[in-house]
Amino acid sequence: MLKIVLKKVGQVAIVMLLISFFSFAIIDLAPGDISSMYLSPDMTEAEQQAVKEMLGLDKSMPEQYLAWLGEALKGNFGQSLAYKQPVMPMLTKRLPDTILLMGSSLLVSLVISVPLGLIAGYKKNTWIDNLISGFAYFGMSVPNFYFGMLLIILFSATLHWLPTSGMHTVGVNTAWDTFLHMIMPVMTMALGSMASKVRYVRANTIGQLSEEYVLAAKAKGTAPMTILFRHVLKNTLLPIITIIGMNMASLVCGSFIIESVFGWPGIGSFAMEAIGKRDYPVIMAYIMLSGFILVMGNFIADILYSFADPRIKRGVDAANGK
Amino acid sequence: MQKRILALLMAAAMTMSMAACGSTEAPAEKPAETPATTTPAAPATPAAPAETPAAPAVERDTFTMAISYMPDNLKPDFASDDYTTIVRPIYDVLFAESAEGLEFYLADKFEMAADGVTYTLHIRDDANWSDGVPVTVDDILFTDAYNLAKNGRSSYSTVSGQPVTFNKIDSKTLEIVLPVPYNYYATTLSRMPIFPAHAFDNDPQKLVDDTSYYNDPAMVTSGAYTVKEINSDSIVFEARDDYYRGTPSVKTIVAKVVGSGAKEIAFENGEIDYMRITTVDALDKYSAQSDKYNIFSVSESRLNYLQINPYGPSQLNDEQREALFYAINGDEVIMGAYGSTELAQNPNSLLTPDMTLYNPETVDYVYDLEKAKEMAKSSGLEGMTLTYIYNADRANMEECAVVLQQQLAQIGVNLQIEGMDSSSFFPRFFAVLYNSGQENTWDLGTNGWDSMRGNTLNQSYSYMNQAKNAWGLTPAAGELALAVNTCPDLEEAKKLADEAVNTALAQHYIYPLTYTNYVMVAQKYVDGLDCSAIVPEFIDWLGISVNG
Repeated sequence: MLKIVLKKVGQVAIVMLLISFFSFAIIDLAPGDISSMYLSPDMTEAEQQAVKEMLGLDKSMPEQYLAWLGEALKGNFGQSLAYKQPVMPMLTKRLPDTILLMGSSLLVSLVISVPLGLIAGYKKNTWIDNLISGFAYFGMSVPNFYFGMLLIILFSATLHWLPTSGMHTVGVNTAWDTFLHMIMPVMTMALGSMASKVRYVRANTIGQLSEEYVLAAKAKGTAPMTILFRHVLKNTLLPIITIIGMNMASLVCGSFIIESVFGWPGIGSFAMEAIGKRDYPVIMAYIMLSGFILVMGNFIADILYSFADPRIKRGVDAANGK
Repeated sequence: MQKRILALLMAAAMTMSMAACGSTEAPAEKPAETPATTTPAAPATPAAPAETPAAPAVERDTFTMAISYMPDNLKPDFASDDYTTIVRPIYDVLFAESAEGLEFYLADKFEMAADGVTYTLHIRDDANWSDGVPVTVDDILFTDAYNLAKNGRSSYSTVSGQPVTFNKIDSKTLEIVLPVPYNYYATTLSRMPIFPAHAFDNDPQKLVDDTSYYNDPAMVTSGAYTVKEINSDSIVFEARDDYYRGTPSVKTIVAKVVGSGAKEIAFENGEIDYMRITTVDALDKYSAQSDKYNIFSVSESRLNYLQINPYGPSQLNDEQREALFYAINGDEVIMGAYGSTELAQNPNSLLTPDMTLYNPETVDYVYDLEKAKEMAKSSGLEGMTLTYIYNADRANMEECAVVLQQQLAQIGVNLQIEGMDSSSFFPRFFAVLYNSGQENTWDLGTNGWDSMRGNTLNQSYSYMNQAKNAWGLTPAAGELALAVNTCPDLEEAKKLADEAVNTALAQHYIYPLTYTNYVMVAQKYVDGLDCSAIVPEFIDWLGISVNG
């Protein structure tokens, strides 16, 4: 098992290195840079050059990348070019708010999608299945920013039930207030991942219902719902571990858009501001952090999977000659 | 297994709810300090819009405004318009240029001597920081030193590449001696953010290295407000009772982040007190509800213009440029892109009506489609495809591009439109000046000069007195512009300015497109948003009321 973990850690390191290189290259290829914030047409050439040197923009991309990588390996992600402040504290200050949003939407999507998937699988090809599948297709198809806008129009503009933006009402210091602010962004983020999970659970449920242990339970006279929730559920949940790991990417990317739509003060909206300003150190730190969450999500999912299903661990051990 | 799953779900739910409780940054022990008394900041469940602006039962004292992002700190380096708006309540400038002359804040005198190079700046005797320390000349010198330490240059102490001499007469009086006459210096000084020297032991390097002072609500301020709270998604400002210009009637300002695209709904729900409007539909909509909303309009002192790139891929000659300008119907641009002259007007000059040197008699270009067609054909312009760039971050620029595309299509010119954000646009538009190497990537582009006020040529000076022959003008325009900015006599300067503007316009490189207004809609109880016609808003908080 230790070997597997070490191997995975090595893979994670390589993936992170590749992410950093390609991200840096793509940012470098993007038109414009932050010097436009500092340059003015009345500056002399020497003054413009001095500004570019101060911002490190006078060096070539590989030089800039290696300098950045050297510092990043030491845990120093540099200073924001816009704010002249260290990047990591700026990001970590906002990270809990993003984790709250991501965690809540993950939880909501799980709580709703698993029963829906089970029921859809159990009621295969009935109107209930069609209804749930229709909902799942809707969730997968609709862009989350658009769905977010629809929610704002419905719940804020029309019904006046929920606040449009932000995380708190100024001066109101209650969990209920935060909860009200969370409803729309969480539902928006949850919808997309919920939809795919419903489809996975449904497919697994259909597969599991044809297994012999289900037949045996039926033969023993066990109630259908008991079979479904006591026996089938366990086995359908297994692939969900992998899906959650894979979903980390969409949650991180989703938070980027959703935080902007709902004015949520997390790392996504901060990164959006940084992109507008071409604040490279912030953008790079955000990409690395997002990439890390994604890679770690998959890594943990792999590890958990082998714990949850000993056959996988045994399979790997067998492949390693143990 | 079931029990384990249940336990996991329960634990996760508990974690989430605890995180929700813990994430509220406002101090829990200070509920009494809730900023609003009667217009509480956005209610958790907003009231119906019709109810909010109705006649107040009790005095209001809170003004809530939307911000598009949460700044990481509140350092008064005025980098962008929206950031300037956020920090306006807490930092005053020395003075501001308005259409009527200078509007004084921290300073009460800025006079030029007869030699045209010596200025005397006097700071108000009662001007003070929020910790009671007087604002002095040392703060100005400290700010200049900070700029030098931070950027390696300071536009306050360098004119035409030569040093400016500062002579401290006393703690409130500064004599400034320029190396050469330079009227634009007033504009430069009007944009100087003043830093408190005493808060950094008069050591500019401490300010350069600082990472925490401007994240702390205890920071000292020079404006009408201090910082009360910095939350994760909002900032609360509290009125000073020792502000040197008086006491603001708005006691609390809340600047809160509102998501992209949700501002209008937040406004109509009463979550924010005002917003800018840039379309005629919004103007008509809110004007029709005058019982619920007030509309305020101030001149933005902005000239948006169309530039023909002398280094563009098509290398348009004078006849081709003239043909293009004949084909542009300025009034149609206003109606097509803005829909109303309340939002923008058709300009006649490279100066705005808010500038002392502006001449209303100046004539720019006339619209003559037949002549344009004729010239397009004879000059070979007809059938050409030109690349047109615009800054998509600026209001109505996309609409202007579309109208121009349609107008120029009438003379057989195909405009290929490219919109981009500011960070991409400026290196491309100012390619020659910024050495970005992109000067041959566009033929036409729209840009704007903001804050075109005061008694100089302002930004049109840099344009006409072009560095590196960036805009294709002959040196004559630059020489005249230089003569204007160095002329100590106002009447003489006006004549020179007329000549300079006409010389520039006659070369058919620049087409003045729009003078824009800054139009705002506010809740009915809000008054005075137009008390000072200086954009970005709001430089004078004393004139704003929430019990209008």
